[in-house]
Amino acid sequence: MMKKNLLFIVRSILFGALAIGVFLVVNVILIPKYMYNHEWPTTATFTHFYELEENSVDVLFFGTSNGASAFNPAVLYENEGIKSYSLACEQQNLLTSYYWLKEALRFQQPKAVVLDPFILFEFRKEEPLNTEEPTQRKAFDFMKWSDVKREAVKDICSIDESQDEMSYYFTNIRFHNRWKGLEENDFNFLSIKNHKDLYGFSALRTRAMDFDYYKPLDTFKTEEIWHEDTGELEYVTSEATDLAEPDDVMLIYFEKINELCKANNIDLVLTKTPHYEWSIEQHNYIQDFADRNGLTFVDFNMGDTYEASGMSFMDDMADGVHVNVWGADKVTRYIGNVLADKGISAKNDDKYADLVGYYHDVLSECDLVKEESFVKYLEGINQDKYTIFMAVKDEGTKALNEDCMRALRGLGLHENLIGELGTSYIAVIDGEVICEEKSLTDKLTTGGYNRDGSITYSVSSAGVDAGNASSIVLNGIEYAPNTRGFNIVVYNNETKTVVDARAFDTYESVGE
Amino acid sequence: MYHTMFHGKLVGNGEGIHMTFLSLEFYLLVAVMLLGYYVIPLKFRWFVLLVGSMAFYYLSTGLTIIALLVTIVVSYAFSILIYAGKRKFSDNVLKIVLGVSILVTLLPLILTKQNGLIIDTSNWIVPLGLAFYSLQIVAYLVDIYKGKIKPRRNILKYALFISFFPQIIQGPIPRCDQLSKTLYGNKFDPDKITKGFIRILWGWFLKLVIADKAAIVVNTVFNDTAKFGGMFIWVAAILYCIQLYADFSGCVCIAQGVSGLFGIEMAENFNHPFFSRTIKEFWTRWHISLSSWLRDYIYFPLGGSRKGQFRRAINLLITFIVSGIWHGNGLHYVVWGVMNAVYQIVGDITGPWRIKLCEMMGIDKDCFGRRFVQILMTDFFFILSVVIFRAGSVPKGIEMLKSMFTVFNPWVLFNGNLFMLGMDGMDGVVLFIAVMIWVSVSYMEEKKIVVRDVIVRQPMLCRWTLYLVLIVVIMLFGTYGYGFNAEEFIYGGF
Repeated sequence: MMKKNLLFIVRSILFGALAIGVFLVVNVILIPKYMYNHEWPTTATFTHFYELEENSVDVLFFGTSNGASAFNPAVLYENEGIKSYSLACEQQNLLTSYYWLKEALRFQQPKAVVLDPFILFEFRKEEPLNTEEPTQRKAFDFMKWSDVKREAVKDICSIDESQDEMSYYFTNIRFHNRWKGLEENDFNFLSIKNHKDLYGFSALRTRAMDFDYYKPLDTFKTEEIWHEDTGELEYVTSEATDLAEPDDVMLIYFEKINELCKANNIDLVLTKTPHYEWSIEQHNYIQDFADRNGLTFVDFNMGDTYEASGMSFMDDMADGVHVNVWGADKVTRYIGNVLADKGISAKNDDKYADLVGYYHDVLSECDLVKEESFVKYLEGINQDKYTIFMAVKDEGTKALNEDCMRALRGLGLHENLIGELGTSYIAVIDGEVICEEKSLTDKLTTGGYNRDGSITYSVSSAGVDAGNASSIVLNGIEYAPNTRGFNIVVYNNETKTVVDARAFDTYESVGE
Repeated sequence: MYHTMFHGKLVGNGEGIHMTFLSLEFYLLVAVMLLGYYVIPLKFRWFVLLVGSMAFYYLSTGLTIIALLVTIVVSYAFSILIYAGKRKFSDNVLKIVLGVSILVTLLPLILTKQNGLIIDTSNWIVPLGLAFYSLQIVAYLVDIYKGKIKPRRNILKYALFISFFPQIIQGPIPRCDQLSKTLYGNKFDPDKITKGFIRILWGWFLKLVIADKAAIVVNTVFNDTAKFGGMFIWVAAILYCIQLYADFSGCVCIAQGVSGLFGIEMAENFNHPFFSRTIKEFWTRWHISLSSWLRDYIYFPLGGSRKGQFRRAINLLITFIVSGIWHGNGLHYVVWGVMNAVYQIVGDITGPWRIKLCEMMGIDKDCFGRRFVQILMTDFFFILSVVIFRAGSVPKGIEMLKSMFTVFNPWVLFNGNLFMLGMDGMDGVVLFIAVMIWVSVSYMEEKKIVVRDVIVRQPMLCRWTLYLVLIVVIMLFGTYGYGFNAEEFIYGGF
């Protein structure tokens, strides 16, 4: 009987351990993951940080998405040899910045911390932490458990009572409903978590063409004063000296960050990336704080810094508040000079050399988006890692010339389209393999899988007399712009992402 | 009443740790108690349960434990007095003593139910489990009076009987002779512990995967009846039956499971009521501990069915009115009780005619078809009564019943409008499958196949796989925590 009872206890303990294991695995699957194949790879930012060699990083970046899209460790290393890592992420409030700095200091001894303090001021008034809860979770769910995280969770839940401490320990409480929308990343996480990434940098590749009205901040303000007695309108210009009001909770953590940096002999550099809504009052507040605490403040919204960095709002911004990858290059170079002046020295590191190599691959993909020339575009996408889908809509061959045909043949295609007016045309090129190429006066359709089966596709083309339509559907999502000419979708098999989807109006011209 | 233990809306002073059948704190307490229980000698194991039960009560409700302790002491004194008085007092005096003891026991409950008619008690802190342990004590005192049982001499053992923590909140309402058999110390029994664990898992499944999921639609419709009529109310009413049964039986299942971990057997409180062929049978299968209490301590003392059909009808009405009042404050509970009594009265009157009709039509009264129709009709009438029960008021309940029979909109079952009620298609599929599993298990048990016994006889690998699958099912498909909205996590452009 005793033996039977003992056996039962042992089995119960074993089962308990197994159940805990299953519980943990299910929870790992359920937590949302934003990796290299997302525009904002927040999860990769935090998981890869732990893989850095200890005490190998000299600069850490923090801040909201303003910072995540602006601070590029690859550029900083390439230009100054400074090793850095960006822990900035979307809507990173200053509590998050503070605790992630504290966490980072368990593994690294940076000489400088660069912080974009945008979130010090009111952003989401209705939220106790000035930012939305999901962004809080994205930042903390991949922080390793330690006293730092326990303290952070306690703080978060005491300030934001809508959050539940237990849901940080038992993440299924927060995410169990995700079973309805599990994605590839959820099941491949262990294999993709080691994928190359940009050390926290988010490379945005669009350009904000609507912000031609942006002007750097003016340190002077002009008031209109109406004199009733004389009936005259007077313009009075004075220096804008008002200070903005910070958010109370954010201010507490802003000061804590400052104290933490001081206590660890870390140079805290404040910087504001270009932002169309940043105000002179906010600038004044940060400048005042920097002056009182002996800190450097670099504001790219001030005229001299804006000019000196070479920023152009329309070319270097993805939208009104985020720099794009070309703007990040300028911002980071400028910050790099500031950091180098502070004596942060250059060091050689193979991993950072790899980072630079990977960054250039990403940059060349981003450059594709800017490419106006059909020929140069075709030459740019002629890479083994791509699967290319083409579908002509309407009249797409009128402007084609020998250079175009040469570029198409470079991709392995054979059809001669010059003079084939109104023709329907589809092509699918998977690396060096031509999966499909057809041209006909009737509508054309094809479908299949790419090289590793990660996508199913269907492509259809209808020339001007055959229906005047095009479609390129990958995994059920339509990507073709469906405008006149060559509709092209480029899929990167390494990152498992659609790199570009655009149309060249090859009726009018080929964009030389 | 049914939701107290699960939703953490503990009556009491509201302070204290979050102690519900779904909370980590509750299971930590159980784990500590289990360790203590099986480590100390058999003779003293009941004391661990007593300390644990008191700790549970105090941690959950704070100082309202004083009310429970006073009740225990006073009722203990009465039990000794009644037992001693059987030899020393005359019948009439003993009856008076019994009457006073019952009145004293039920007074707090009556005052909380009278809804301001006598005294305003709206600000009173109601002790946790008052409605249950009050009836338990009355049963105890009456059984002593009748000579069915002897009182517990040891006040601490008596205190354990009253305060035993898995059952104090939502029952079942135990009888001393039944519970005492296993309450005061058991040997380590792997079989009972395993079955207890299975019951706990099953209870979680019923509660989180079925009851709380059904509640999404129920709450949407019942909270906005101006918007939803006809078939929407039918759907919500059926789902409310499912919710009610799953929630309550799930809770009881967990209570039985936790008790089972200590080798303690609690009485069954449900016997697959929706397989009943008559409302009368339904009330022998639903909330059995309350139904049998009402039968033994209200219906039988009133005369039961011994004094003719008319008197039986009156007795039924009184019994079910008491049941209605016990369930909650509000006229709609009384009306619900009256409906169930009327069903049985009408059933009694028309019973012989229905049998004669079957004979005339050559229908075997026990054939599958007739049984199936009887089950459907029983469930149908019960559904109508729970509409009033859930509606929250009689006028609203009547409006809803009217709408069920006057608004004709069956197309809402097919055109996707049901997904306006808060539950999407995937949740609907999960609920349907879960209910089918539940029905299958219930059907097997109706055929006297005890599923727990079947499970424990399987090889270890099969059992463990089943347990893990159930745990994962509850984790993924349970309705708890937060909803996940992928849109909120997609960075929208800050």
